[in-house]
Amino acid sequence: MIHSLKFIEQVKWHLKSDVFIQPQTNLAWQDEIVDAVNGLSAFILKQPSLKAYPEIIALAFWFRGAHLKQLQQQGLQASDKNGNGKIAGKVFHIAPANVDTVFLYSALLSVLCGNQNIVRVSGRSGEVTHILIEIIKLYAESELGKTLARYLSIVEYSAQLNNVTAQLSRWCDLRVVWGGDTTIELISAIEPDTKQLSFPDRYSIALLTLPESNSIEATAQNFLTDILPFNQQACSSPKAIYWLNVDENKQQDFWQSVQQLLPKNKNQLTMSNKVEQHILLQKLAVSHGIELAQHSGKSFAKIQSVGPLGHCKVKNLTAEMLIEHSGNGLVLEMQIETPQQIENNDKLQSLLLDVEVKDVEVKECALNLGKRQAQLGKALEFDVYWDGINLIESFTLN
Amino acid sequence: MQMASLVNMPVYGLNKLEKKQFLTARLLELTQHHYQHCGEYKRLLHCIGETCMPKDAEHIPPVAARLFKEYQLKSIDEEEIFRLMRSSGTHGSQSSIYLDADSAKLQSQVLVKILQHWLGKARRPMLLIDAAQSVQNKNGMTARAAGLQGLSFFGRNHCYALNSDMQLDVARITEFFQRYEQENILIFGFTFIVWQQFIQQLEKLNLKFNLQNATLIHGGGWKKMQQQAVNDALFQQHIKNRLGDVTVHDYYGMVEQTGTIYMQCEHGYLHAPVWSDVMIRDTNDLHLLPFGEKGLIQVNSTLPTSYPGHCILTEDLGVVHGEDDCQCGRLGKYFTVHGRVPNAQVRGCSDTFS
Repeated sequence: MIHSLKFIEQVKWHLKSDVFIQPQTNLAWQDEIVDAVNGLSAFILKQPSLKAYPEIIALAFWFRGAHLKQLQQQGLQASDKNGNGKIAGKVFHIAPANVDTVFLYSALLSVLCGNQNIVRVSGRSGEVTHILIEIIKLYAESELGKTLARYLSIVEYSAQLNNVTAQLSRWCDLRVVWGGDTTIELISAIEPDTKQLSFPDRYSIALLTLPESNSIEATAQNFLTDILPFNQQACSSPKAIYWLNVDENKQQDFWQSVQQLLPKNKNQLTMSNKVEQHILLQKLAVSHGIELAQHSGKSFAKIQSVGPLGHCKVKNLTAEMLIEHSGNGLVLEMQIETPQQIENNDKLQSLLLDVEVKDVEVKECALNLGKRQAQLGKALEFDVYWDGINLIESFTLN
Repeated sequence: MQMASLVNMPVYGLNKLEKKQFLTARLLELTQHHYQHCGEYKRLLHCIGETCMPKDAEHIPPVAARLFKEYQLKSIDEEEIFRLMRSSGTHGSQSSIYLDADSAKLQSQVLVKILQHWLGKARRPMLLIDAAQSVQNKNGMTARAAGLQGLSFFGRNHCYALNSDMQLDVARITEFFQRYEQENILIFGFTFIVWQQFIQQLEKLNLKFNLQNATLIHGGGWKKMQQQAVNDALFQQHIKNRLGDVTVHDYYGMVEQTGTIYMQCEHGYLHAPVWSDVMIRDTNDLHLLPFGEKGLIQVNSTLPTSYPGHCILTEDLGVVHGEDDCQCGRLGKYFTVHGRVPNAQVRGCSDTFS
């Protein structure tokens, strides 16, 4: 059945090729589709104005030719089983509003896997989402871009329009829902038989040792790379630092480096986020009994301010506190003697380390923590394995 | 302290030393009280407070106003709840403030004392720029209803200027103004409603009145006014142009500390009455800022006993200009409000789909 994808409701198509509604050939990992994606990457890297957006550059870099070649190997193996040349599968992506670039990683990977994709973006998406949409629209006018546009459409509509979500769900073979337990629950109730892949709320943490072999400045920079984009609201941005037997003075040095590096790092944190930090700490106290470790003597204890960031040492740090942590640049810190003091939780996604993951001291217990261990500074790097799921396999339909 | 002696303190009559002594004792007593009777407050003090009790008012951790929206903070048992006050919040969630009979009484007595200072004891013919229906409450009392009801005590022959659909009833106000033109009329309303539904309507209809010695009291914030680029001076000018001789007083207050409102004097400054105090804190780390510097407004009130709202950190920005030395002669701190901290963009995972 061919769906017309026409709605009486207020639906805004940012990108929809004339031929998109027609069934397309499954080009899974064929050069034609790989070139179309690679073309977008090259197109982005050619725009000098985009240099100011590291998250967009990171996206383009991830889809660069050399990396696509590697992925093509994996992809071709996965798609062996299914039908190249048959009709393309259909995937409906519901993108998160908090991390502007995720929708494109997810959608482009699915394009490469041979699917036609519709991405729903939120009206509350940030600047980066809208820049990306404009870029894709421009690119879609080129020859390579036309190929991409046969496999990718972008739509924006209000979440209240359940009927639209229902129609798009009937259109697709797979629905991908990014983020928000509440969102997932709401969407799952619409056309509940739809095959679905969902990525619920997660939080991440950093386990730091500040070894002699690393410069503190480099560690501080890696930390900023991980928390500044998306105002620390990305699931993989660390909400807390666990200091594993790190001398107090070295921790001070770390924050001093952070202070010095901040002016060189673009961020969107404002006074509002500062106020949110104070409110968040009070909420964690009232709901979960978090306690600050340092009372500054005369006055009540306060969050220590480092530029737009705030940090504070706490005596207790549970998974439920970290689940409630809303970002906004507040870094909770805890001094520990062994990684065993860190509570594991199903919602713990990334454990960021400033030493090699294979490091013996950390290895034993740390490797059981979370769904992913990564080097500090690479928290936001996309991976084919996301939340323990192999996306290439999941996007290989039929 | 006995309620009667508290209520009978001179409204703007304590100098800073006397006031500090009074506030410190009372606020520390309230801190102890809420620590013992409100579990959430106790946890907050354990988190950011000191291991022992603070010794000075400025060291009492102020409770973020937002917490009253998300938790039911109270220091009384369910059966003691006499009234539930709610902010009129047009968007987002509302604050819930739990009052027992004593607190409710104390709040209205203090409000009366403050307003008597400005209006005198005689009741005046009163025009309320609102609809009579706004006072009727469905789900707890809103701040707007409380304000209308509280101010009504100072008037007689009340007249509501707006219909149930919030439209100006021209016939009704014309009759009211004609009847009481020579008397000291009292007008009360919420700033934006006064502006949009009253003054702007009079302008549209090209209606003017010539009042003698009237007083307008208005409050509720300038957020929407700023969106229309209307400041205090412009607001007053339009009012006088339409209504004649009107003394205009803005006030600053909030549902979390009903009663202790901050009235604007003839020099344009808001004044802390004896029962309350304002402090300005740095947005970065909440340290106390000196007079003249802009920061987050903290309001302290000696009244709240039924809920832990004696020290509240608002999301408003302001400047304290001085203490005891305003040209108007009133004692206490005087300050101005400079808008709200803009809402942080909430884009967490949990509300992706909206």
